Amino acid sequence: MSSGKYLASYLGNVPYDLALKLQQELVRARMGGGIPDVLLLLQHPPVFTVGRFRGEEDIAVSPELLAQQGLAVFHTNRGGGVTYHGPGQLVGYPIVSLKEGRLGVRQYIWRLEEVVVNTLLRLGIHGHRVRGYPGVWVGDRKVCSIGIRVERCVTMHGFALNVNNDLTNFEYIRPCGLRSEVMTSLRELSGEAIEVTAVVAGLVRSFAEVFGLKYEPGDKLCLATLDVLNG
Amino acid sequence: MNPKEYKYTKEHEWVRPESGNRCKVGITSYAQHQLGDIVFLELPAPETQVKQFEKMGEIESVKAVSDLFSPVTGKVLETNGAAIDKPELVNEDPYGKGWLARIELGRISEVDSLMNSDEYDRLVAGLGEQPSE
Repeated sequence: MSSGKYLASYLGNVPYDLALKLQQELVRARMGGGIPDVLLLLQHPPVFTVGRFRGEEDIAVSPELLAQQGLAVFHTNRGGGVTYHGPGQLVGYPIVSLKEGRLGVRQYIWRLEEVVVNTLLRLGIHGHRVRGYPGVWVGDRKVCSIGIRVERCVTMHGFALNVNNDLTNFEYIRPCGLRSEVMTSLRELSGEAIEVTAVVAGLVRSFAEVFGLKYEPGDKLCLATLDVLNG
Repeated sequence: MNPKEYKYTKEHEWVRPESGNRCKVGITSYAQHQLGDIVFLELPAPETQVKQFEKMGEIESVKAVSDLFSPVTGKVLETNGAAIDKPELVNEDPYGKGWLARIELGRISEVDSLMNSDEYDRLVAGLGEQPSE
């Protein structure tokens, strides 16, 4: 049964490949029952990521041009299409046991959307779902993208919420197959300066409410795991 | 209702015994409902050896990629090309047109030890009513 708590940690700026290894370690530990659910929160240096089954065809410019701009493309094993990560975007990677939470995949995605919608409400922004287009939308603009993987009933990858990131890098791609102009950020929506760190506490609280789990700090576990990965 | 003549795993796959040592396999109605709209399927090529309860492919639904497990050990004879082209068949008709693979059984006794439809019905009922979100 559920242990009733989850660990969350905001790790600042973490390279994509290192964050992926951290997730894999935590997924393994979660499968073994050694740790409760974990919510990793972080930012990435600029990077494009492609989904397991699609996304490559939605990169609108040549690999050479991306390389010139210092933009790497990562092929991942998550669901969804191509997306962009960069500074100013808050990325969340929940490592959740769907079995313990008695959750189906569809229901889990619904909850992730709910977590982000509730986080936005705390900031006075009304987000919503659009049928057939997972993620979180404000009006006809998309502010949060979702793509996950499930391994033996444990989740990895997650969501990316545009807070104050430069949206121009989305112009190189059709994010999740959509026009790049669809993407927006909290700064653009509110017209006010807003820092990623100002969103973290609300997100941690919303996650606790939506999943019915008590928050505990997970910095110790995450930093120790990162230390091991860094040798 | 889950078909009477099929056998089931607790991971929500089904096996339909056929003549000889053959069977068809797929995922159950409960599984497709839990996954949501299926958009991509990757299945093992013919001649691939698969092992019971081990990964045989991947399935993408609503922005989520999950592993597909084989309910039996054996050799893949063919996969359902129609379902690969139109993965929504797995949602629409999981026990019929949405079958995944035909397998030549390596160990027939494995099928006997799977759940029958009554046992599987009880398992699903015990998982409780999921709120429809």
